[in-house]
Amino acid sequence: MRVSRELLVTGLLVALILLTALANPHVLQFKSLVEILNASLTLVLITLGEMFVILTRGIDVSVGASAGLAATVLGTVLNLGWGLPAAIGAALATGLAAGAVNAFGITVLRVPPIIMTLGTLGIYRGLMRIITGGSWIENLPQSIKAPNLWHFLGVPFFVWVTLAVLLLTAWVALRYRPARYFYAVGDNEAGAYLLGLPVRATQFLAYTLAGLFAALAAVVFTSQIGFVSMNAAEGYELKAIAANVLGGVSLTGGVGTPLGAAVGALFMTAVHSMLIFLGVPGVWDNAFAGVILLLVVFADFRLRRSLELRRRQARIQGEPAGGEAR
Amino acid sequence: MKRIALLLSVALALAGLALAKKDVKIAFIPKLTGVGFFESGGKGAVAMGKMLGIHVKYDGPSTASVSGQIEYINNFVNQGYDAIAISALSPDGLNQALKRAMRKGVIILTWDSDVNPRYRTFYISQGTAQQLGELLVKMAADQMKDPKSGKKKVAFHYSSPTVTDQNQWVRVAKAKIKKDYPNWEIVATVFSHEDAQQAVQVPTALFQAHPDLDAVICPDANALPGTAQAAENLGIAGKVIITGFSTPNVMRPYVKRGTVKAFGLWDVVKQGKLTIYVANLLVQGKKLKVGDEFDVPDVGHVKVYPNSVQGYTYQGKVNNGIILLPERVVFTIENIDNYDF
Repeated sequence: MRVSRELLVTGLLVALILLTALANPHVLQFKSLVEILNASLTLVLITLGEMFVILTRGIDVSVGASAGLAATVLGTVLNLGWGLPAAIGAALATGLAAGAVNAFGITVLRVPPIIMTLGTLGIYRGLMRIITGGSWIENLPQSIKAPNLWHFLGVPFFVWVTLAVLLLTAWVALRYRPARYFYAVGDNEAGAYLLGLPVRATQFLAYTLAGLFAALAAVVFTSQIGFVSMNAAEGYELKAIAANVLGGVSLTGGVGTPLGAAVGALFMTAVHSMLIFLGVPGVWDNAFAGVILLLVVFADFRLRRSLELRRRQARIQGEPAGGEAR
Repeated sequence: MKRIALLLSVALALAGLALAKKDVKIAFIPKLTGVGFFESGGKGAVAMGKMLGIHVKYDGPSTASVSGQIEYINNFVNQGYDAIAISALSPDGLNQALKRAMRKGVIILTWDSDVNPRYRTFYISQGTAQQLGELLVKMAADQMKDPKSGKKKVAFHYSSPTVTDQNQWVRVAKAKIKKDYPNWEIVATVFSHEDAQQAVQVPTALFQAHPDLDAVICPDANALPGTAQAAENLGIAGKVIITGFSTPNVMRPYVKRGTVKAFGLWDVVKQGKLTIYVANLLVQGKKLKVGDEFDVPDVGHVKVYPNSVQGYTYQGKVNNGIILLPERVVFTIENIDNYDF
């Protein structure tokens, strides 16, 4: 009876694609679907990182800027003549450091997360301009763009990488005991502390992971786009938060899964492509995406409410509960 | 008699002061910093400042925000700048700030993107919407074997429907297509909101939704490289015409690989230089009227046009009008290496 948010959003996504196919069957081509996946990777990765933070009932609005900074470092060292592995290493280290700075401010200095990450959002964007002197990073070596053109079974390399990262994250979140700390801390921080869980360390790890995932996204982004503009990944912090909510990760902490977050991000990206297949004038783009987000969250809320009511009804009548309690 | 002499001497002294005005300070504000196009305009502006021996400051908001531009205008006014040249994010949103600046005696110019002509002296324009819109169509048509016959499918891809200049160009281009190339069908107009990732995703979907597309016209700095990248990712590079406006440094690899055969822009470095040259003339007290012509070092021969070339009805008597850059550039594999911005 319980409809998980992952299933609800996946179902809606399939419905949206099928509906679009009625108007323009080209959307059902294997290549079209793969390209939609390919376009969603940046947001999927940033959303996954943000998920850890939201699970602990925090918020990180600097993830877009962290991704931008990591992409800037990647592009800059590549143009200095570094090899690809070293450059990717530098980008990931940048993301880790950016996340760790947030983590330090929030867990050690006790700055409220929204203030801390709003501050670093400005700092990281500023650093990007200081590193580049304000210009775009262009003329990147072909080595960084090559992985984007590798395919396995007709599917781009980065889709496989992201899928592997997603499955690993999902597996860890489900099976690895300490991963449950994220949920425990977000659900009831004081309770988790009394249970003897390492609350601060868990929060520290969440923000650091957000930075690392943002850097992973930056590598994919740079490879796919081939240049780094100074507004790279701007606004992705809000998209990532929205994608999490859409995918069932609760802003009040403790609830949500990596698969849900990823499906949410995929959905948010797919909407833009669908509108083009449908031939909807581009003017409608953002408004349409906003309406869909609200509709899904609202539908989910109603669904849960009616299940809850039925359960109560059942309890009053002394019968076994119809829906499984969560 | 004495009084007249006194007045005269005061007037002369003032005029002398004006002529010998030292420490001229001019601010050059972009739509946003950190974009190659604006940074290059800023470099041109600062270079002209050095040449003229005056102080030129290039600075502006780091995100495209109208309120950010207003803050910069107010700050420069308060710091006693003599002139402000701005690429406006909104045709009307800056009016109050500009009015206040003019009341305080600051000379206002616009460059790249204009405001209502009541609130500035001159607009240093890259070309009229007519010229640029027609250039877009010409670049696409020149790459077709037989542009006047057979069914052709074209699409437009740019940043967003609220950007004044891009919208004007596209409107002109669409009108031109309707008039001169009735065999072209405009199958879609799509937007990527200055987001590099969307600038690749949007044309990817576009190519797949319309596999028989002949040309995509992209008058936006993100949209053009994004569309080229999408074509390369899909393996259709060279088979579809991709043209528009962007900067040579961003487009160089795509031109070298043959994905983009020709695209256009104007020399924004020269636009920055011209803007500062005119601003300095006005600060020195020069009066310019419609029809005046003069030479600008490094830029060439320019002329003052009435506001009506841009479709405005308002026209001030002196120090009000539009100064066009002498030429626009079409970049191809032959000439692209001569430009660095």
